[in-house]
Amino acid sequence: MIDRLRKIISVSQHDTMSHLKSQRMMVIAPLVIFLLCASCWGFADSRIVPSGLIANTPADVLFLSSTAVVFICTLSVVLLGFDSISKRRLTGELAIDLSQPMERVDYAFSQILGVWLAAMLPTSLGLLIGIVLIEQQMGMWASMGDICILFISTGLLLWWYTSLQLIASSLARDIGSSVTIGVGTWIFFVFLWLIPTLIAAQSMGVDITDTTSVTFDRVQEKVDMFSPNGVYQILMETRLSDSMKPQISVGWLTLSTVLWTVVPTYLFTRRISILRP
Amino acid sequence: MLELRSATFRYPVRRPQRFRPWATVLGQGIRNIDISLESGSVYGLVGPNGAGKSTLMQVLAGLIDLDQGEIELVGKKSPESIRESIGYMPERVSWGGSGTARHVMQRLCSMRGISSKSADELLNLTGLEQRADDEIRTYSQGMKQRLSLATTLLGDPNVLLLDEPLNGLDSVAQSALCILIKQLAAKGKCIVISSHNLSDLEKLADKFLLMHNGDLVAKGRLDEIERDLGIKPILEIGGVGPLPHIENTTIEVKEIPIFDGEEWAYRLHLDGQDWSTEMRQNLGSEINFTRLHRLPTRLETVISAATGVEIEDAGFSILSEVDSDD
Repeated sequence: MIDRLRKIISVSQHDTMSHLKSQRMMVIAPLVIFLLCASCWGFADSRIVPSGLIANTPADVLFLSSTAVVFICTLSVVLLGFDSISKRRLTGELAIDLSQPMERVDYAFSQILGVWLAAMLPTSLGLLIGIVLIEQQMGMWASMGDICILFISTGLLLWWYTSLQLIASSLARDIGSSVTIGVGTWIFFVFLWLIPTLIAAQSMGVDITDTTSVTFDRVQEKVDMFSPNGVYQILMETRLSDSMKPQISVGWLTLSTVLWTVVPTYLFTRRISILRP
Repeated sequence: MLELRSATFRYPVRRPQRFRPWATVLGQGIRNIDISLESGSVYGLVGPNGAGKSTLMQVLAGLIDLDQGEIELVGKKSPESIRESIGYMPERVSWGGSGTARHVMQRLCSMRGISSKSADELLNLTGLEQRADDEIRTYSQGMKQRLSLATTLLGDPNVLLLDEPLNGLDSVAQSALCILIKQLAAKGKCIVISSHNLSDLEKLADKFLLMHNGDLVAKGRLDEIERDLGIKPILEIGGVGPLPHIENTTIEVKEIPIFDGEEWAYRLHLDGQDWSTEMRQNLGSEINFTRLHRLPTRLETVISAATGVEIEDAGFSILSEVDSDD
């Protein structure tokens, strides 16, 4: 078991280093760090926070800044992972990988870890600098609880996207399809998720012209359980003041978090287990 | 050493239909293959395109789970344990990206759970030591092929499966690879080579596995296969002076181009007979031969005989392989 774990970690380290040295990382890392720092700095400045948004505490600022995580960090996973499997498959490198004496499930985990770590490193750096910037702006540090939830939730979100991305990459037969499936999934969850939410609300008889109503919020929370971004946002909301906390039960939130972690990971390991290079 | 018993595998091939774009049909694959590969031997895996050679290589490499049958390597049956003793070199690996050869080798060492020292040794063996820290994208096709070979040799596997190993190599590198293959076989490795370069394969392989339509149609040494298939030995004769009395023989005769200093030349298909004094007498005892030698049997002839398809009639199914021999 320890041997298997050592192999997984070792291979993922090699892959992470490859991603970190890649040309695309030269673009992704500065963008991620800059955007996370800028959003933490901006939302922590009461003079420039858009009206209607509340940013009284570091937890509020971190919650608002999580929007940047949803936009840019998930995109970084897409850009890093879209060809992780498909490119290796096309070049023949996957056949060499799979002919090594490493269990396929282990290989799948090493692939997820490799992309996840590469995306997590600039994100973590950006968030850490952001926390310092919030202290500079507001004169108070985010609590350890806030920081833990921020990093755990962000780590989980990137893990979910990594699994989804690698499933897409293993399904695609060419790089074009790989990009299309990957970016398509990202666009669906980031930009188009409001549509299923509105459809669900409409079918439940909720007035969809008032998206700020409490009733609509309750429906949105339920529908969000089916989206990785939604679950992430609700996890982040748990650190807000009582009036802003999500109303969905902890049980449902935990179940959704576990399912989003287990199901895509299982599907990817299953996919790799039956994959013909 | 490596045994395959009643191995059958058919893979799904996508065949989109108007209302079922995801529809698939079962492809050729391999059917009921029984082989026993011995250590110290070099096997040439040949057959027309689509015969199932690559599928068989992937089965032997433990990349494909069989539909029926089993694979066993010295008592080991699980794919992971079999893969420990196998080195697989796929056809045309297009190494790319920003990685270096050393990085690729070290990563594969991690997957095999072996020390990365052997990576350096193999980079040295394949002549990549000087360029080991350069980006692979700057490598020539031949260097990429040598990198593929180095990855195959990692972990000192007992069985080497090489799919088109000579592709992209210059003549010097080809000779070096041929020597290396012979040395590895002498050390007791079992080597299976699939190649379209039939003339090179004839020099390298001791034994052959002939595939057609997913079946193993012949196996063994080339002379054994020739005998089993009843292939006619071919003799080339040339000379000066009086013409041979071809009409005295029952053998099939064809006129061929003459060399300098020759006045006539023929190719004789001996129909299973050996060249004998009696045959020479029939052609004329006074004949002055300048050329008299038996042509080595060409693999395409064997393929044609084993598959029952005439080369002239087979179209691209066999000719595509024959062409690449020239």
